[in-house]
Amino acid sequence: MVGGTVSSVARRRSIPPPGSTDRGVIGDGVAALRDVRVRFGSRTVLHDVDLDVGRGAHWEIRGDNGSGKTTLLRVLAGTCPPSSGRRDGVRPVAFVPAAIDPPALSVQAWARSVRRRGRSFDEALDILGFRGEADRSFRRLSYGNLRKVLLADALTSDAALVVIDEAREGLDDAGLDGLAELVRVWCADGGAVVVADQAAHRVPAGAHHLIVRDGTIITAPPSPAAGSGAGGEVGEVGDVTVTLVGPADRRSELTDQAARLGFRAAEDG
Amino acid sequence: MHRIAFTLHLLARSMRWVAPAIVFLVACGLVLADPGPLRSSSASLFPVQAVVLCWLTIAIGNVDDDGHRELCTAEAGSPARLLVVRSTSALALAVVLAVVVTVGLAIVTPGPRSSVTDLGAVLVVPLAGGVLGIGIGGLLHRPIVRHLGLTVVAALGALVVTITTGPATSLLHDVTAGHVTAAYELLAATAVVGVTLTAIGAGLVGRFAR
Repeated sequence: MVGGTVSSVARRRSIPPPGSTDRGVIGDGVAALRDVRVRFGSRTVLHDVDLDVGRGAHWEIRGDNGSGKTTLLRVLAGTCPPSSGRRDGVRPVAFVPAAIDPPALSVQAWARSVRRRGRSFDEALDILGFRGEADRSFRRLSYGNLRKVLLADALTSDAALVVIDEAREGLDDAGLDGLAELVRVWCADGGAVVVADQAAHRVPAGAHHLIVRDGTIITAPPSPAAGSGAGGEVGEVGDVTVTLVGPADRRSELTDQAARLGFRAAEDG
Repeated sequence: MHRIAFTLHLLARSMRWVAPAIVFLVACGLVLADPGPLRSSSASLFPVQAVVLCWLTIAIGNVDDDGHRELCTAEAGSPARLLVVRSTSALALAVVLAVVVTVGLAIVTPGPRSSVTDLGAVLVVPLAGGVLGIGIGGLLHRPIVRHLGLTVVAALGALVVTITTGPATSLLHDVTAGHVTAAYELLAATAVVGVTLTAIGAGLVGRFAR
């Protein structure tokens, strides 16, 4: 590209959302955000967010602490109405918050009554490697087992969209493998999953990768971890090389900005 | 329906119902121990039901922490829908308690057996109190009001104002005087207030959920 700004570079290489060819209509999608902005008092925590989540899609969101990941998930889940803009899509949503104080119920009693299910909750617990006693109080579970119960609950619900905050927090290897398996089955059955995690967690192969930074979405760079699984937009795009041409005195500024947007920027003279 | 059952299940296991249940039992005990005419006793249970159902509605709204409420909000569809689900759960309790006190009054009140019309009017009065309490309580729990002290002061103030002033007082007087239609007018008036307050709460709760 010749003479473009860094922001126009980012727009041109943005990846179309899965499950939707028309950004104004949900169509086969399960949720869509349009020009969403969220303010907490005078502070804007999310702005200029457009996102389409299609059936069978698996989105992985990464971002630093305080970048707006959780607020984005809450808007998608329908628990935080946007200050402006629109959230369209299916309800109810199965939402796993980052932290909960469990109610005074046994795991089985809670799971039986909290929502309707399309799949076996007990099987999901087995797949996640749950080792606790499901007939004991929710409050006596270890943190890892509590997370497994919440994940099993969401991924066996009858909702079309599952939204998970800090999905891999507290999980052991069996839990991580089980989560990958449950998400794979969920998406194969046409459900959509949106997951947020810390940057240290690798984006699984086939997932759509988004980065939230300073309260807005920037498109993630092609990830070496991302393969070409079902609906894998990142894998389909592959590496993109962008040439920036500009005044010599602004070269380092442009490359710095490109690097901040996720490009592997380099000055070649 | 499963959401109402789940809400009541959460309330039952939280034990937050114990204190309002004690207030309800003590107040009903006082009325039933010295029963006057059926409608007069029924009118005296109007404020009791209003206080108890306001308390129970607040207890239901505060039954879980922010994380669990978010999970339930997503399951219900939106913060407004969750508020309606929880207020409807309180309404189910109001109906049960109104039936209990009506049966109790019918048993202990001396004199000839009451007609179905009389019992209907007797049932409606505590139910009206419950509906008023639910409307007030629905505005005063998390996430709309997060400070328990403020909740208590606002709830007591609102209950005192609505019970001792306005049309409720004169309608209760008419009920005591034996006007059957006044009981139904009282229920209609409190239903309007209760539904209006719940609608206001549903409109507000999304803002406070941020």
